[in-house]
Amino acid sequence: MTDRQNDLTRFNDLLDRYGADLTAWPDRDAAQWARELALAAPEARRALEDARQVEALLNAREAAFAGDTGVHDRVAEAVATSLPAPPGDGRRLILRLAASFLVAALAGGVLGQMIQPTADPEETELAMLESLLYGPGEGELQ
Amino acid sequence: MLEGPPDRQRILADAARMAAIAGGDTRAFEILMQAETARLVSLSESLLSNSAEAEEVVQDAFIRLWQQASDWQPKARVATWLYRVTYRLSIDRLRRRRPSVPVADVEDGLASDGPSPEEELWMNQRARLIDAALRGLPPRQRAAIVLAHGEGLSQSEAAAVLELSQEAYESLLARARRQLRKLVAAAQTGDTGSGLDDR
Repeated sequence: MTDRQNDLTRFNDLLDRYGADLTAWPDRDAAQWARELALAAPEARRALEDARQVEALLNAREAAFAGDTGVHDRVAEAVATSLPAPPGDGRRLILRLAASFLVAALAGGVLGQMIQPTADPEETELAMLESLLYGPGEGELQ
Repeated sequence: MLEGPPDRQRILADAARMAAIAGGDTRAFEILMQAETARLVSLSESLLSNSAEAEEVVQDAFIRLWQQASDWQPKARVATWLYRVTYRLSIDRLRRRRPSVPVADVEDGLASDGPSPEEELWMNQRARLIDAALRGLPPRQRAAIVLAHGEGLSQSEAAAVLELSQEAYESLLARARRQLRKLVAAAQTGDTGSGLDDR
């Protein structure tokens, strides 16, 4: 590969990596080198022009989105109608719900300790087994 | 393009804004939406090729932001978070889709356009050209191009959106730019040959 081809390969690689705006390249020396090559070599100049054209098209696309106020209005309206309560309030609501569940569970546990079961454990197990084998009894259907 | 003090300041400013939103400040939320909606829809639309779906994705991203505002940690800019969520939601939708025939949709769209003034026609042609070229890229390359363009995100932030190292993002972006140039050139000359890099 000749030096010229090497230069063009490196030029195209840098162009792909950093884009067509040479002033935005992070490496100033590389940008200056690219600028000089574009002045000296028609192939480099053409590649730079092609890249600039694509970026101009992307700019036009971006401008079309930014200029379309309808997009923002539609999104904002849809979001506004879907928003739950302000996030702080929502969080408090969840915490309140969680707290009430906890209180109910604790109360259930305490009551369970206080109230003794009246059914015979063996009878209960037998009833469950029959229910599994033969289906629900009349009393369970109610 | 490393994140320096200005980025840190923006992160802290965003944290203050998120605190306000967490307190139910709808005005702060509205300002954020005003600033970011168009670019987010642009990103999502470039992936989904469907404006209505793209708008739904962005709505979803903003609603999630609202719901999670009280848990916000000032580690990154809000914009980066929004782009990341928008990207993920768009990719999820893309994955759920069965193979579609967007080309036919595009052709239908072209055929249904009525006559327009010369300048509008020219602008439309340019918009179609770049949209068609973008659709020729794999989704990640499309996202890399759209994220790199404009003044929305730094390179490191764009890399974070795609969950890539900065080096990997630069490589992806370089491939994307190269492909896009080929596709635009092919569209202009009417050459639709393949052999493109789909990584």
